[in-house]
Amino acid sequence: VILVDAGPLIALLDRGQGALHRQCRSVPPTLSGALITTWPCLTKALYFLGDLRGWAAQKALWRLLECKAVFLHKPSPAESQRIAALLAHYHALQMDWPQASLVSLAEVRHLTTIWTLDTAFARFKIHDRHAFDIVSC
Amino acid sequence: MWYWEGLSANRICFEDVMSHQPSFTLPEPLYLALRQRARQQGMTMMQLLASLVAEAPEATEPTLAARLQGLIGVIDSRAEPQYPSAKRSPFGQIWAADLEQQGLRRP
Repeated sequence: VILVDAGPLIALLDRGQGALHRQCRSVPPTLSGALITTWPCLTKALYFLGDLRGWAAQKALWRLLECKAVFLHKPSPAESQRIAALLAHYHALQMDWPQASLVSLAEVRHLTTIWTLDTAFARFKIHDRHAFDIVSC
Repeated sequence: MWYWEGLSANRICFEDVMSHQPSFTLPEPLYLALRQRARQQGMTMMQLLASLVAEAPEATEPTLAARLQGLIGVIDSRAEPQYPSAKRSPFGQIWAADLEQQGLRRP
């Protein structure tokens, strides 16, 4: 299972993103596992796509979930506490809620690979120790 | 096909009677959980393992690329007119600025 951030999801759906779209669409055939994301990342992508193309674009994102191309993680109360701790720990790097949610999910599910366009993940550590294996476009 | 399940301490052996396939060892908690589940379902441990493998997503479900078929590039933010959103929230603008820094073309 591979973590996926908002950026690649948007770039996959929107061919208007040009070179970034073409680079991202070449990634899925190289991945052997399923994709999983979090509610904060989905929210971020929904806002962006909504401004881009309204409901039609948001619906395309929902289709990724309906077709089980992307799975949505439902956090436990304990994960909320971990997200708060991560935000505190990385406040100097201005970690935001979606970023923290992905780091927390990596810890809970024992995942190490993330597909993201966000270079900040090179500085975040799983359990404060292990670096992510980053798949980028 | 005939199988023999040999049990000793935390060791569980699955052996094909005819071809003498190799056995393997499970940790004690996993072994006990497997045995309990098999008894509950009226199966041998081999039958339970076989059923779990048969239900494994990797064995039956399409690949990620196959699932994405027909969904990639379904919108074109360059060719089509920008969505006439009357109000754009500050929240959405913050995310858009962040994603723009990651290389995405902003709405």
